[in-house]
Amino acid sequence: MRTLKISASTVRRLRETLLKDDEQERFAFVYAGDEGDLLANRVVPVDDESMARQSKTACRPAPVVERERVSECYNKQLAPVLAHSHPFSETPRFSSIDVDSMGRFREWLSGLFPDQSFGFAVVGTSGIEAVADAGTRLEAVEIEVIGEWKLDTPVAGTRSRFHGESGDDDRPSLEQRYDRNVRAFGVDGQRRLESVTIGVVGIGGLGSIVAEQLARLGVGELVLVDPDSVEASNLSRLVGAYDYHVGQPKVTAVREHLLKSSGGELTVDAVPKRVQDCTAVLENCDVIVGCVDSVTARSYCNEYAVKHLQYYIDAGVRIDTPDGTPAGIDSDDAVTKQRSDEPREGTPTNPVQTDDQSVELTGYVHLVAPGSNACFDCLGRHDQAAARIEQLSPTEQDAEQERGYIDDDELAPEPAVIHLNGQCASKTVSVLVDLVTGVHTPPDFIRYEEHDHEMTELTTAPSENCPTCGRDGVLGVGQRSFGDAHFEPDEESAVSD
Amino acid sequence: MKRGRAYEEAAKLGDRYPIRYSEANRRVIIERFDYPEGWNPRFAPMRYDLPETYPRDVPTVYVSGTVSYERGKPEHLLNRIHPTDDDDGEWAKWCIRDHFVNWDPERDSLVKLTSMMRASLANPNSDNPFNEA
Repeated sequence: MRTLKISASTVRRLRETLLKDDEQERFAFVYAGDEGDLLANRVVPVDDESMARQSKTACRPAPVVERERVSECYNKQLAPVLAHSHPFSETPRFSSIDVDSMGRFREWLSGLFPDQSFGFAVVGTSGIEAVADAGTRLEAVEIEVIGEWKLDTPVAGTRSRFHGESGDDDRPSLEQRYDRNVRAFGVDGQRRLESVTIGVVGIGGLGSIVAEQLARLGVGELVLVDPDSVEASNLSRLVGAYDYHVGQPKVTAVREHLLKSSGGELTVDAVPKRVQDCTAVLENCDVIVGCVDSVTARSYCNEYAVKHLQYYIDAGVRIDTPDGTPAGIDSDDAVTKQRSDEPREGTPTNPVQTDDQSVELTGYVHLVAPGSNACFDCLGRHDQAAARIEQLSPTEQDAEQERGYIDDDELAPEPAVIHLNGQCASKTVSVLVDLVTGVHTPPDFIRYEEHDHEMTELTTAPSENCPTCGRDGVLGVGQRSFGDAHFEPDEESAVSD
Repeated sequence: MKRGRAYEEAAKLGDRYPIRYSEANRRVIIERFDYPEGWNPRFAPMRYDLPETYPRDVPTVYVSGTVSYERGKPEHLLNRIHPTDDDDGEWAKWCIRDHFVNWDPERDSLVKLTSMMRASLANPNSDNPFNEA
């Protein structure tokens, strides 16, 4: 059955638009990305003045408004979901009048826009019912609310993606294996974990520990994404990697280890590529966890999650030294940065003892429930300077270094220690467990300061002006493609000799 | 990259210039750009390579390899830097780093970038071409 995925903020907007004190039926279009499932992008209300018919028991927009909105939707490669309210009903159902109207509308729309998707929804004070076009008929659609814990009044009867399998589980070895988990978050919680597919992007010091913990918690499937190979300098932090793994892809080394950790029941997909080059592997992930050291990759994962209304947990650590020099590395030694943030093999480094330097170790975990709380860009976390350097070719990097546009410090590897990674990884997994099992409301953002042993939890809200999930953003648009194009000015406007 | 926005911006540029837009390559080519006085020839292509993170980050600009500046070597022209798909020196990188230190996706666009490029090419040794213009 198809699903209509809708953020908590969009539900709120829909209710505000359609359910007013005068108890009149009202109408709005929900523009939705079509990825098989429908992904709510935005609510476009129809003013009372634009209604052809409106009362406490019926409503319909003027035909010209219907045509305009539907055309606009299709121009943006979105699908229209035509929503109206039953203001007297808690958990509404389509009435016989609704069904007749929808049938006539379906005929009209299919004639004008054949092969285009569309749907209908009816909104009550608590519930939402929806159907979508399925070729020759309309079929029921499940509702999933992203960030449902943000709603004062939950939407009744919705589907959670973390539903766990029902029925007998005839695997006594697994029951024994996860006995202590079940005592912590119940059989239902454990089943939910076992039913999910988690994408872990970045299998370095942080990601390898996250993957290890998820494997031991009993998640159903892990998708590991990282283009890098194991290097000697990784071995102090890369859980699951040993000396003989040097030179092998990180995802392969860690996969081998995880299969042992899980007793062989876990499915692990190892993808030795940049996440930007293997988007398809994220499609079946219920949650994406980003443990990357690249701004570009973080940005990509955030945008992907927002477009597809998928949960994204972004985690990171940072070590700052007072003089800006990475602790433990001789400041006179310019170590050229590789793509993987590690020094090239054979590049000499001269570790030195620091003299009582005050080093700050921080970690953070940022849960993105698209449209319901702040995404990566809502919080202004994108680092343009770092992104620019990351996207330079080696030749361009050399040229810019020569011109003094890039300091040697900017290319030096970052300091990293396993215990900070471990703290942050555990917090990341903790947030994921809250999200999946529902045992606690997951936090929006956690900041951890290891040097002070302080943890701060923050509540966030999406920004209307956010270029990614805001008003002009890509919330719920799915993977649209507008293709290549050639534009020609008309004769009057063209630049001429 | 937000394809919808890049497409729309390319279309807007297309109101004034002939534009070739490639979604897969994340590239916009102004097929016939009017280079300012001092450049020869005056009409030649210009190319923008959009980063994966567009519109959060500024595009990379390449001027045509066929143009030259008659008043000396421009400071911002990186003759030795070509796009990775360019083996023949068809394009040369124009360093706009100093002009767009704080690219703002809300305020900036390909149209604004093109305006900036006209100013920069008109004062090719200035870090603040808008002021000089």
